[in-house]
Amino acid sequence: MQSNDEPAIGGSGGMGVEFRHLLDGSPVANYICDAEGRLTYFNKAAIELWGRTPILGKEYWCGSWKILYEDGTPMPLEDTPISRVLKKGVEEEKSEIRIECPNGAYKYLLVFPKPLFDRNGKLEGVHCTLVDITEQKRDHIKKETLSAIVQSSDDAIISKNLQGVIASWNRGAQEIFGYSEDETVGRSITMLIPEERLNEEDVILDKIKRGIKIDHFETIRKHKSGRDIPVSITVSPVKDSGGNIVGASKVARDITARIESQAAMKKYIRNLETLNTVGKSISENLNVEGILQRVTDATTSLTGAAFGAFFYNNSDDKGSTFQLFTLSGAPREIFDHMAMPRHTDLFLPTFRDRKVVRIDDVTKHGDFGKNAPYKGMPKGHFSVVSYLAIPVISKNGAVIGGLLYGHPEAGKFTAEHELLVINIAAQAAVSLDNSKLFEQVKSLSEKKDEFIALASHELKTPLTTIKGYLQVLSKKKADKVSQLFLDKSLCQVDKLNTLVEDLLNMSRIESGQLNFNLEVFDIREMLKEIVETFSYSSQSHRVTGTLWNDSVIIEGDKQRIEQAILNLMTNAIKYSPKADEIFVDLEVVGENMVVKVRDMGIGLTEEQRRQLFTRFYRAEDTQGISGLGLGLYLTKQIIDRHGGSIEVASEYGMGSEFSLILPLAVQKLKKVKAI
Amino acid sequence: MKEIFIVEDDDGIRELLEFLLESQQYVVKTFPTARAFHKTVPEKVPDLFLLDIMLPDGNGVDLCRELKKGDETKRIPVVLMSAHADISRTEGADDFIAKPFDVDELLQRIEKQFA
Repeated sequence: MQSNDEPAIGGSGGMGVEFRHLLDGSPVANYICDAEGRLTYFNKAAIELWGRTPILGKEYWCGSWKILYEDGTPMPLEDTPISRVLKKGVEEEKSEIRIECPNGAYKYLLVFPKPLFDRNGKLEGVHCTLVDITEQKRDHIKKETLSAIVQSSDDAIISKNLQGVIASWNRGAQEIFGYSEDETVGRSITMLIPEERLNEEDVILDKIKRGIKIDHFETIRKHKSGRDIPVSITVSPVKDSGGNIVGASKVARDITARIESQAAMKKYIRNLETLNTVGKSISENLNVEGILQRVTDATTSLTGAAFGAFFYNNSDDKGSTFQLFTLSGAPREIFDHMAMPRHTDLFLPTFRDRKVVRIDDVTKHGDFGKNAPYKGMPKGHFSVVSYLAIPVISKNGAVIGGLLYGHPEAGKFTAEHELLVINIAAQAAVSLDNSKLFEQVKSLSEKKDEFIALASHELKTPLTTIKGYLQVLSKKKADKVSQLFLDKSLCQVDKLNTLVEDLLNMSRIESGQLNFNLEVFDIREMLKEIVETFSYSSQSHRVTGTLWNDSVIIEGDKQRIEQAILNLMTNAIKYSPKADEIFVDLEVVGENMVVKVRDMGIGLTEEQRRQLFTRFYRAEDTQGISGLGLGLYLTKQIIDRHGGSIEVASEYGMGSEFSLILPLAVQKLKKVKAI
Repeated sequence: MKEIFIVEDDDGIRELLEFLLESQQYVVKTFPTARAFHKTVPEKVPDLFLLDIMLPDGNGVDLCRELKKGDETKRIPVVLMSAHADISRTEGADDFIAKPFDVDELLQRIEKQFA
């Protein structure tokens, strides 16, 4: 049936030439299938639409590369509208299909299949017209999507004209402002604006008319209920297709949560700062009153209480009273002529059962007014309606006391206040425990000093008797061995006495009771005597003294300074067991005198040098050399208290040199001479 | 023969002193407490007082002050003794001896008071 004189674009489809020309030139896609469904004709527009050229007489029912249902799933060929028409031989309504072109593009088509019959009414084929509705379809989808977005938004999206009349209203707007669409469309946007802010709308509309967008303007709008809502609004001009501004779209976001969280954050930071400063100041403080005053002041201010107070839990078996200790926000005099709070039903839970009590209106509370004889607040008591009581609990579980807050208005204290005070109270309790511990240690230390003073006295008493009798005995004629033993015993008694004396002096220094008898004297004379005595008494070491060639006058306690020098010399001998000589120098350097005691003994490591003057310190490798470790400590204390200093130069194994430096009494001496 | 009154609460030291001083030909009378001492003094007075400072019922420094005020006793030398070598508290006394003492030194100091 194909015509030979006119080459067909896509077959003849059994049509006459004129008719075919008509279809060939049509901008609408047309094609024809025979009764078996074979493609027998298609025009240029169809090729363009399909994006391909099918093979005539070989392909069936449709020229599309892929046919899909609207939802995108593939449509089997036998299910296409043409195949259905061929099967049934009945004309069908237009139907919509989706196709995919070989280049991957999707198209939406309206299909108009029409059955073709021969003169005998026998089904000869189908003529199909395809209309590309992709553009319309996309616009529709876009609109639907936009509408869905607008509807589902949590933000209020409102459009209005240039007179401020509301044109559209989404679900978000309903959620935020409480009005339904029916209640708002057609009415003025000013229904949402608080009276005092009405001028804002004029400014907004003026800007919109000039084509200016308003971005994230934070303001207040009104809910249907009359409640204020903080919002951030963005208003943009809406233009018609001609570019004229015809209205405005407005997006409003409820920023209540943000503002609340900002406020909460600020408050949180402020609280944290307060907690931090309070914590720091109470942990630095070891004084009970200081800790409690700071805690009371800070918590009273934090809770916004009219007054705050700390009461000590002085409860005895009778459970009589609490003791007001610190007060904030009210003058103390108020409490002067008032009995302290007692174990009434109101206070008992805090002071006995360790409970936090927070009452919005104490005058309406069941436990209020049961306290005879007052039956409520005593006369002259400042008004307390809001009530908060928090126990301060010691580590051992005992209630040290209670922090009490009051306010003349109801409902002033919140759970947050409660939590804050509990936290501070916990810190305060730790500090109070520490403070108590500190007091105990101090008192123990005082007891120790007392004990040492007493013990040393008691030890010296028998020493006196022993020494006396030993001396009496050593005067009697005795054999050599007895004499030697007596001398040894006497030597040990003196050593024992020195130890006792050192202990006593240490406790005197610790308790600040080491007294000095100051006098002006020539230390050169003193050293001369000491060196002489030592040379005479020491059997193991020679003492070589190099003394200044003139008097060296200082002011000090002669006995103590002698003790200090003797300590250094005794040490020099003690710690140079293999040497046989020690050196004592006296010189004047500037306004000071320096006594140097040098030995050739075991010397000191750096670590030992650093610890040398600490109480009870004894170098590690001194086994076999006796001592309490008090000598150098006492020596340093004595010299320090005379305004002098001790220096030590030493190398391990190479001996040590101790320099004792004291200021000269030049000024004082001059005065003495002038008199 | 010089007479010395000793107030000393410790038996050991009291006996030692008694022995030491008697062996130097002094006449010695001892008292263990301030109360015992007051039973005798000022009705009877010696040539020298040797007083311990810390007594169970009193204080040698106070006793010394008292003696230096009494008409019968103010010219009699007082020597104080203590195991607390704190010289600042002994004003008013004629001498002070720290315990434990050196026997020779003690005797010398006492002798000095009679020189």
